[in-house]
Amino acid sequence: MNRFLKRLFIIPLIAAALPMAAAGPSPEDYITSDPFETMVLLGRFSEKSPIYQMPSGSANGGYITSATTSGNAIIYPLGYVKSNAPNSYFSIVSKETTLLIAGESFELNATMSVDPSNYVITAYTDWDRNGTYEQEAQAAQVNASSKSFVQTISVPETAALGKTRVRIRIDSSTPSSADASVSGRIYDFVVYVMGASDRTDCFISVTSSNNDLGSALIETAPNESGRYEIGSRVTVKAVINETAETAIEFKGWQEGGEIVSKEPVYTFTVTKSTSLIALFEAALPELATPEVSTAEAPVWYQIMNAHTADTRKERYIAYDTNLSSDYTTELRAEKPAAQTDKFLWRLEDAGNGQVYIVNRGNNLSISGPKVLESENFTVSATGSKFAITPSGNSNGSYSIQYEGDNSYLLNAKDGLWSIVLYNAGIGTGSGWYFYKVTINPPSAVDEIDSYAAPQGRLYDGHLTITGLEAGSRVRVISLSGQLLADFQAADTTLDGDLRYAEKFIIAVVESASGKTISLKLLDSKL
Amino acid sequence: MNTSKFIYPASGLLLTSGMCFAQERDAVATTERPNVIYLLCDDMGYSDIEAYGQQMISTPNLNRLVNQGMTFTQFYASTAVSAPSRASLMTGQHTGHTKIRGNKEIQPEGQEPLDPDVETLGHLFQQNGYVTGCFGKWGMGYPGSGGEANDMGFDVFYGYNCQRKAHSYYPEYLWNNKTKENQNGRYSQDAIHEHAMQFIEDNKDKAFFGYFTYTIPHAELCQPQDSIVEMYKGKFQEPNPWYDNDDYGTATDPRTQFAAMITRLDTYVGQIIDKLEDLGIAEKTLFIFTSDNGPHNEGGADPTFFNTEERLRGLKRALYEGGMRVPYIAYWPGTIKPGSITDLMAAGWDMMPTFVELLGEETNWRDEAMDGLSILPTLTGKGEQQQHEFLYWEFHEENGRQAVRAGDWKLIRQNIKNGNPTHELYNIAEDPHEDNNVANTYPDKVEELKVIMDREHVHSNIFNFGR
Repeated sequence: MNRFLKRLFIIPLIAAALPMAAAGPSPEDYITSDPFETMVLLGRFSEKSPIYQMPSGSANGGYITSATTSGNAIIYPLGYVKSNAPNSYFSIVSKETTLLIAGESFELNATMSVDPSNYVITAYTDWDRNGTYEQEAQAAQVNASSKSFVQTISVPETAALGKTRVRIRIDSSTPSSADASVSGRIYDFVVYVMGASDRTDCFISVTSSNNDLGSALIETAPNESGRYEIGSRVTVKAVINETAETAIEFKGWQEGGEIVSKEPVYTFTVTKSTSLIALFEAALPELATPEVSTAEAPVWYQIMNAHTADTRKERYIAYDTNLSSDYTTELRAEKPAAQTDKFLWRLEDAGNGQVYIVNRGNNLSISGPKVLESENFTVSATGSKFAITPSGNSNGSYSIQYEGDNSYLLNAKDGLWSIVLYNAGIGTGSGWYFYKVTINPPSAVDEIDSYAAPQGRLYDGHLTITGLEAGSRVRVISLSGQLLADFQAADTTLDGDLRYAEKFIIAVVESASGKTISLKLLDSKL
Repeated sequence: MNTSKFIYPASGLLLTSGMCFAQERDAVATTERPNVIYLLCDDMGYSDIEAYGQQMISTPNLNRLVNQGMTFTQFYASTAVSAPSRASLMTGQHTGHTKIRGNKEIQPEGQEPLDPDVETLGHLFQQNGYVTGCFGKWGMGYPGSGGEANDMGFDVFYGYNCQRKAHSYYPEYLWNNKTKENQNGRYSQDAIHEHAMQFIEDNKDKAFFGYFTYTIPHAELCQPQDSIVEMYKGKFQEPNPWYDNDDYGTATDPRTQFAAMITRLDTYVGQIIDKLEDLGIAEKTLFIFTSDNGPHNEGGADPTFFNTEERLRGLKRALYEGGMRVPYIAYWPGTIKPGSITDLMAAGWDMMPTFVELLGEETNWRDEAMDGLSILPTLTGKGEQQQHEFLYWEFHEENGRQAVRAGDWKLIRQNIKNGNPTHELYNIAEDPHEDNNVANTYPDKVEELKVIMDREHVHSNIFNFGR
């Protein structure tokens, strides 16, 4: 897009979406559709910037998959998403940023690749811009089931204007300082503090706890500032992703760690800027008696070890070719579990009362030699045969016996978490629970033919979706739940511009026949 | 051209050389026909300074320059290593046309010289009555070759003749014009900068062209252990100390040294701005800051660490964007709009036509054709800015590379010397990091850009891709 058109396009749209009070700063002064122009505008924001210490350490555990900001302090919200683990334990996030005003507070809403409750999350800020971090008084609110946390941060009225950072540490134990060595992850989010301005409206954002399971959107249109007047009524909506394979439940709207409504459609009166998280969960697997099934009519299980020691409990058999310092074998006892293929197994009849244990992701079966303890099991096309029988322990677990021999029991090796054979631990280390996981059957072929999956492309704020059912409604929302566009598709293809450019969007498609799916799209220009 | 005469004594430096380079210099800088300072630093990458996304290194004076001047987001060095990049700048010809297209050393000191008959930027300014000075690394003509700075249009030269010698920041000597000057343990960049500042001072009432080719942040990574280094002490992990390899000296804390070298260069920039303002000649001076190619990873340097978000792909020697797209900031108070930003596509060989227009010269001021376009309309906001139909680069190490950018499209040819070249096509607007090679999707575009590539490479007996 040439410069004239770019200006013509971006400024009115951003200005319409996110303008500030007359005397205050405007996002379009700093955020444009050209990422390199934005880079310069923000890069020169503070003539002199502090130099921060980079702690020593090593990467360990999970990482932040998305981070957004919301609240009264927000002029322009953060929209950080990451689908892969960063290369280093230490990440500076500056390409995606947030603009703040002093004297207000905001929430940093983050989701992680793992359950954050297993870690210590600590936030640090440097509002006087002297290069030394101070710890935020308020602790992060962690939601284990949604793998998310919310960190409330106050920007003092005395905050120095200019570029500074919010440091989020994700440690295995409480750090002694912002700069202490880390075993985990450190994120330095670069933020920009601007002067305060008076306002009578608030910033409302909604976020899905898991975009694979469902979407969150604000149904009520904002004012021309992209905000909502105090006292006005706002309706938010949680939409379950009906194309997901697993059964999904909507658990409610979470605000500041509390469930404020369990209704998918929730209307409330605006009193402050706030961020709501729509909590979606895959339906919990049910403890079950293991049964043989076929590839055509599979019954899928998570297989959890019955050991009760803190480090050994709640570990599930998983197959993953990605190795790490925690898991050095592809077949392992891993935690926490998810309803993803690597954790899902079915039992295929091997004759003589024995079974193959088949992985859903690759159709390979658990296999290994009949050797106690020293041989790590893996998966293969042929697989080993096992007899699965009640362990006899009162905990109701099952033994997985190698070729029916009760002296060779499948077990999780303590500390290494590889899968081996043991001649001990019946009912505990050699005991297993089978949790049945409900998987939605794929659509019938003729149904697929009549409603092919829509395909979307986002480039420079322009959205194209093909393969729509005629008459579909397409609502486009930002990571923070702002409604960027609401289209009614006349035919199978939709073309339209968003209210303002966003790097990451979710298009919620509701077909005329009532089917709802969501498309996650990255703007390939931004 | 003016005809009245002025003999430039170069602060006595010329006299001490035992040679006479005295030229007739009579021009006086004005707000319309200003002094020009072209600060070409060495191996500084796109995101090595704050205005271009750097988050770990402090560059307040370059921010000041950005806030007062114009910042280019798509300016390209002439190629991805030093000597040809500088030769292209100096001759106004891209690397398919200019004589020096690679780093070719001549023992014991120096590089392949420029064509002695070519007229350079130095000549252009000299012929327009400007006093000209080069301070830093030359690298385009070994001593006695006829291609030294003093032979190629510069009244004054102070610095390294040879790129290899410039790998040491504490050299035994620097060249003061054509005389070796013992340094006695002095940090070369301080000495070079001091001479450059003196050049400004000496010529404040005249018109001058200063070609400041400071070596920072090229390896080796060392400097005086002063307050600038102290700012960074203990700030970074230093897992990979570097030890002397007979080319680059030891740097046990290379990240610290690299960061401090950038800030040191930034400090020099601040001193130049201050000097121009103090002398009251800021509005009569066009000061340009840029780099000769992308970031290096030599002597312990760790560009991956300092550019964690990797805005561009590739380092020095690559014809990906990271190897060639560089910072470019132009400062000319009263003429250039403060804080302006442009995405104009421009390159090193555009400087000669730009300065030709600035000086009011004719485009046929010399016999050889110029490849570039003037970017003066963009700088001044006056006149119509012409756009490049294409930009062309070539590189003669590592099996040879060529690249063409035409509009949003860019074609990169690699492995030329082994006779089985590869071609990668990228849409730079859509994919500035060059992750998605779309050559198979757009074969016609590949063929179109190949034609430009083949046409723009004029045969060279020295740099010929092994043909």
